[in-house]
Amino acid sequence: MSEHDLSTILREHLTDEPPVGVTSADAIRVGRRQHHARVALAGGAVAAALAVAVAVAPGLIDDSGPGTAQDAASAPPAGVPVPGTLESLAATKVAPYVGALGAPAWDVVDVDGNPVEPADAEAQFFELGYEPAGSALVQLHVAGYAPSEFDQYSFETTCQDNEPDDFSVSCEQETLADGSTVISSVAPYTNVTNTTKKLVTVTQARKHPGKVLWARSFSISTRDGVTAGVSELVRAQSPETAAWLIPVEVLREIATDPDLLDPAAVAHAPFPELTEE
Amino acid sequence: MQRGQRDAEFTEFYAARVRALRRVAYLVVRDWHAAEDVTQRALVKVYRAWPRIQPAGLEAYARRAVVNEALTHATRRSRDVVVEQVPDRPVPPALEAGPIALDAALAALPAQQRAVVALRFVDDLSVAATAEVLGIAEGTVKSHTSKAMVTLRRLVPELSEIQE
Repeated sequence: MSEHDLSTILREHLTDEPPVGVTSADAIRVGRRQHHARVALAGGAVAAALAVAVAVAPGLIDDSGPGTAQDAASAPPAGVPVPGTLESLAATKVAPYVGALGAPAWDVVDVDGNPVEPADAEAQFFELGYEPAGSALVQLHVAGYAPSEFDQYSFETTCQDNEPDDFSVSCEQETLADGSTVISSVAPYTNVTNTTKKLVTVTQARKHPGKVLWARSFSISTRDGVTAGVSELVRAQSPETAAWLIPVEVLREIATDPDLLDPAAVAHAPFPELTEE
Repeated sequence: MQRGQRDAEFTEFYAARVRALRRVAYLVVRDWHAAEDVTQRALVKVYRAWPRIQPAGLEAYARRAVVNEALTHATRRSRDVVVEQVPDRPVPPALEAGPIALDAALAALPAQQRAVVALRFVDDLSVAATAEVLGIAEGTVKSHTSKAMVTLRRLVPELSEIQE
């Protein structure tokens, strides 16, 4: 039997293949969904990203501006690992730059976007927002994902992916020695509340100056299945005139704080397979 | 690149290549349903990476993505198999009973040998191109090819009867 014979036999062996049951449209839908989920993980707003598909379509710009703080009474009890860590980081690292933080607004959800108590085993996404006196908004988040899906939720290619989609005015990616990926970016958002925000394209944002908030963010995705990040959002006519108060180095210190990246502190349920964009 | 252009280009590529890529995946995972899943997962990655892939490298990128997914699937599945008794040899019992079908003979090959066979003899890649897709040395590709041929001839006597 020659190599040519083997090739012939194998081809004959494959002639009774079944018809292809999937389509390019399926692949495109899933690809976009994964992309949006990763973008959401990079910038926070993960609860909104999962509860409703992240919409990035024309006509979404509104003038609602920052929302009011969520019910402060719903804040989780102090001492719970993630909330305690996030609030502590905000007090020690953020407050020196923005002044009094004000009341914290919390959003804690499971993988399906359902609100849960911070101490619940299903608590997977933790969003903390402040409306400090000296700045528009500061948002911090920690989220878990299945470590086996690191390739999907790594930020290794987020900046490259965002470029054609026009989602950021600047984006820098770096892979750390432990394999974690980090990104720092400047991007426009609308429909912003204390714990959520909706990404819009830079083109849309520039068409509606003053109707968006410009966020400077730093985020990390670890090999253990944890993402964390912090964003400072300010109102400005353009990113060039945005007056952020928190230095990027400090944003990095917060997002990469080891206490924040404890994989045991968040759930790691796989993201549901979503077929609708 | 605009999203519409990206989608149109990807759709064209998908239509042209999905069946061939699925055949390669099938030879590695030996199940059409799994092969389709593997191929689709790989093509989702291709779609996501589309703006970064140079047109000249598109084929190689997609092929590498499919083979990597298929090998990962095959490796995981082999770890999932639980049996009451561990066999003395890593050969399915059916193979000891005598001549078997080509499909079962392929199953007796290690996953990476199946990948080499798929790329070289179904996808018509050269030794060098196969080595590049799998990230191994050309000598390793030749070695895998040789071992696979020996195994297939041994397990499927009809194959040995085909003379050059």
